[in-house]
Amino acid sequence: MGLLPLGIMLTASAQFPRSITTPAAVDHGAKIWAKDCASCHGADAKGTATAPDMIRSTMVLHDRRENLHGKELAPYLKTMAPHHFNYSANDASDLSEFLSAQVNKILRSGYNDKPQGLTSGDLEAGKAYFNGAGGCTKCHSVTGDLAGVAKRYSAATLQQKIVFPQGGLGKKAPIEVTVKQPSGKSTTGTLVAMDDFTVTMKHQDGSVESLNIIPGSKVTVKNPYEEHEALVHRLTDDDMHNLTTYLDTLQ
Amino acid sequence: MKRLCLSSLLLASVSLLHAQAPAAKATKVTHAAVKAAVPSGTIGTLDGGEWTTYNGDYTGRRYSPLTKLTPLNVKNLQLAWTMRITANTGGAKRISATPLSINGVLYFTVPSHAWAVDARTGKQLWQFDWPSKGGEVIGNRGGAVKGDTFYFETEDCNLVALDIKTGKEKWHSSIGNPDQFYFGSVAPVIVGNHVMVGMSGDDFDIPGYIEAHDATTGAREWRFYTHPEPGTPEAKTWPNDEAMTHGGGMTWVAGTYDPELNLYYFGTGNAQPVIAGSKRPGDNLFTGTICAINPDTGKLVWYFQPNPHDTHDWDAVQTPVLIDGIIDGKPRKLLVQASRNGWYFLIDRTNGKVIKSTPFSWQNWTLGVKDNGQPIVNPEKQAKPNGVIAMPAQGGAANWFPPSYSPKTGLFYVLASDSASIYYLFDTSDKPEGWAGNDRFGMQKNYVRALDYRTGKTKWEHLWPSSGARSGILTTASNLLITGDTTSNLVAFNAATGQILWHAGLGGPVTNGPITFELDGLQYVVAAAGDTLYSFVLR
Repeated sequence: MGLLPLGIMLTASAQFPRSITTPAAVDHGAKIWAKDCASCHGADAKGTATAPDMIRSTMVLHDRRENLHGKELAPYLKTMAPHHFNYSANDASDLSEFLSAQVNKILRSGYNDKPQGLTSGDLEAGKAYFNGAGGCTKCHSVTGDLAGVAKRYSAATLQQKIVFPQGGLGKKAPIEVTVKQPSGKSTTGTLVAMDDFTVTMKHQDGSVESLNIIPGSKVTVKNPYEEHEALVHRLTDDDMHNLTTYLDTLQ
Repeated sequence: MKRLCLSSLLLASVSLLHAQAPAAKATKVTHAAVKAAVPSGTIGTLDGGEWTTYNGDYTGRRYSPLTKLTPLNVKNLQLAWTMRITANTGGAKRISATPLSINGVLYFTVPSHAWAVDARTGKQLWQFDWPSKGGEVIGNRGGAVKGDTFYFETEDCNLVALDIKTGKEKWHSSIGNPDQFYFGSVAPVIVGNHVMVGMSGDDFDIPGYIEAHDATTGAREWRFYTHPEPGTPEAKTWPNDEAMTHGGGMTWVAGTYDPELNLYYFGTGNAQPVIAGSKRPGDNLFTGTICAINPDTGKLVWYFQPNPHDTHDWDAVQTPVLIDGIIDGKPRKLLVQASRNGWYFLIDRTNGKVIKSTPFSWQNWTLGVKDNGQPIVNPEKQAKPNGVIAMPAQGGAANWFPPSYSPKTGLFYVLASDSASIYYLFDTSDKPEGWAGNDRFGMQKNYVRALDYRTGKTKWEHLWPSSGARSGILTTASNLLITGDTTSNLVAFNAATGQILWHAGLGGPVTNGPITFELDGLQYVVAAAGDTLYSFVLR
């Protein structure tokens, strides 16, 4: 269960106290781990058939959360069979940091936090969809606005922008809003904010104006993303992957 | 005025449609009579004109019998006071607690802090600061009161009992191990002498549970883990005990209670690992499940799983609201949930049998419905390394924000989000742990949606002009619906028609469930926006 993001949807932010680790200590700890521990507990510390998962070890988790830097792990590893490792305080601390880093890696988003295989779709099918069923050419052109688009965006960003250009970070297309008041006066600008009671718009000279919505007011919004909002219901996952594969060739 | 007159006519006609709804005049008389018989601080009812539990009463309806404030006079609702909290810890920027209103005092919380505030003036009576050892501060949904004791959970997994007069600690009792990423955020619920304690935490592969503590001593009475006992038929919904006992199922939201059946109802959270389901094939009971337990023993009496094999962090923790309704001409004890996965469930709360299950929002993750009313998972809509378009997005069609049900209108109200996003699997290893994937930004359209409780069909809806925040809903016997919009307004609707009647800008989104109560013959409405409580009154 994640915190609900406000406004635009972004990947849910971390909701855990993250322990601080330093790369040098983690690297050194990783070497100790590889030498002394990995053969039984696994290179990634997730355990093997012969030894338990250290990411789920309550002792490791306690060490991590309390930032004990191995103060309790070291005596345990020294005395408890089959370990009997006599680590210095520094080595125990670095091993502790390696294990904390391994725990941190699984939280929220997994090891790499990167989509994979985004251009493994059918390029020709993507091209056909772009020019046909997708209706993309109504607004876009691969030699116009999308020329070189793959130079500007990674495949991951490109895919997100194909499906949800209105979401995420980055520049958005301006949304034109018009408020027609009961007096007949009509005011048009770029939408800044809107609720049921007021509309805030920006004018070309940079000024910002808010208008009350009163009985008889008519508010019209030209949503530049309307086609994409409709597309999300038609677009299959294959269509999406094919489009990404095709548009990624526009280098 | 003309619109208001029309709506009041509509109210009258709607109330006639529902056999259990007394006429407006009768409501007033009944309320006055009952109110006199309800001592201050009585738990489990709203008839005393107070707000004594997280949901006001045990049903989770958030439906107040108060009728001084009406669709006709709500335009006269005026600011009584504001109260801004001061605490310099991580969770103190947002009051997501539903305040309690007892004997002229409001009690509320943020992570590791609690306050008592004079409900007439907004002046602080006491502030309690728990010396936290650290934990997740995503929010704290509020406290519970029994007698002269206030109870709340801390982010570092303690149940703390305070003297409600002084704010001094009476005792505290451990409710979990924060080393394992458990944390406290749930509003406790008093049932008899039990303090029902839910548990939070979905960063790590740990089992969820709910437990009861003795309200007097703090001693733990029982703990119910939200996974089956090894060897039972339900355990076969997991590949092995190791996956099952690390399989999640947190109890994020305060439950509801039927004193006649002596059953306590609550939903459970997502399965773990959260996004990667390949190593936990099966339905993964009792995650994403509505459970009915005996609060005296912690024994499971029935369950229904709205969200089998969750791989989208959708849970099934939304408040299970208790409705005494009429189905096919017969009075029934019902339970409804508008679930985060976009499905609405109408259930017989005596036995867990589903009467109706139907989508109430965008959803594209199912292949149909089983005979028992459970949606059938479409495996093609589980996260993949190159992404799948899923509806709803991770934020869900509903979330923790409390819904409301009005027996007067027969409508169940939910702040529904029609949404979509792309889910990615990031860890394709043989042993994914933790999250192992996530979704990335999408789109959402936010509504107030009023559903016929019997069919789940939308009777009216209001699309907020912008997407954004959601909050809780309050309804009243005078057919008002009060909630926050997506930007920064507290808004009153006609609950029967969806017509907006009143609003007030609060400078930020409403962050909790609004409440109403009566003091000295005056009806108040209180809501939080960020770090500030706003109190409105009809004079």
